[in-house]
Amino acid sequence: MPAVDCPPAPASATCTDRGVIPFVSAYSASPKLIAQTISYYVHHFPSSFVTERLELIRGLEANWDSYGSTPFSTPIVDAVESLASDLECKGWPVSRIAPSADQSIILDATTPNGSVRWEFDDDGDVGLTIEKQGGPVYHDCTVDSIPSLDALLDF
Amino acid sequence: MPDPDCADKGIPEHLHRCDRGASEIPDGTLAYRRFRASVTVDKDGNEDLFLGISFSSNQSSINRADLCEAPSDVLFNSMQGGQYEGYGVLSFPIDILKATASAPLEVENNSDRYVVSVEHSPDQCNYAHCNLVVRKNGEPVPKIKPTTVKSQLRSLIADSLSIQLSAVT
Repeated sequence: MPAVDCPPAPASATCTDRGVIPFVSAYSASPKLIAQTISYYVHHFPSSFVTERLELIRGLEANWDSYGSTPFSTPIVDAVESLASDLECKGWPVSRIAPSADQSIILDATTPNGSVRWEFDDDGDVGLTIEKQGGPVYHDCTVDSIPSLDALLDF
Repeated sequence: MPDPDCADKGIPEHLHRCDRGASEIPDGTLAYRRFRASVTVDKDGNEDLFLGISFSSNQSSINRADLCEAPSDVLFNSMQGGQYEGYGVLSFPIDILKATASAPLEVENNSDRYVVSVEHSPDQCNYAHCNLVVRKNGEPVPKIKPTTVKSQLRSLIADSLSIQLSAVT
């Protein structure tokens, strides 16, 4: 799927407004604004695949893998959700969101430059694996310093 | 002679440690490990077996296949008795991890070297029990950091993983 630009956000919405559709007055809003608002939220609501996977991860109980793994912390799952949403907004398909028995969450996506994997450790460390023709490129960061999606294209 | 504690837990006799000590793991031995069915599937519904492996010292348990009678041996709960339900069993050749001894994993711009070994660590009711031990510059570490070293390990092992027993859910 080719990368697409996100629809412009209507004046009443921001990228962090996921989950709540702002009230658009039928009397005050133009049809164009209403169309923009609908388009924006269609692109910013996560797909059912992403939603189901995140719901599953949030619902994992203690010892879910039978080797003593603990439930994932909310900030980490939120960070995965935010990244998945941004990827879908870009039109870069998310192919995998799954918990690992190593207390991490894996997210795979396809970018215009190839496939990328983010591994979110529950302690906030993040590892990126970017598949390139000459072999994978690895990059370590934290959940607060993940490279932007545009920056990924420069790796 | 069976261990009465293990027998009470329903663990088959060949897994009772009794007076046996740790032993060398022969070349070509498979490792067995449980995986939680349906949690680790991808968008197409395929099981992502590599997600079932842990390299953290307290969660890295595996069973060596040469001391098991069947992959299902890994489904016995050797601590509390009974069997785990809803889990499948995956396998991988232990030799793949042993290979890191001659080709340690590295991180760019970093002189650290990572080697993984499999050490036989018999439990009272699971003689086949082993742990994956990760060493950074020769010293055991409880968790692999940085995270991309795990990614390298997963790449190393991913193509050799297979399902020995599908989970019954």
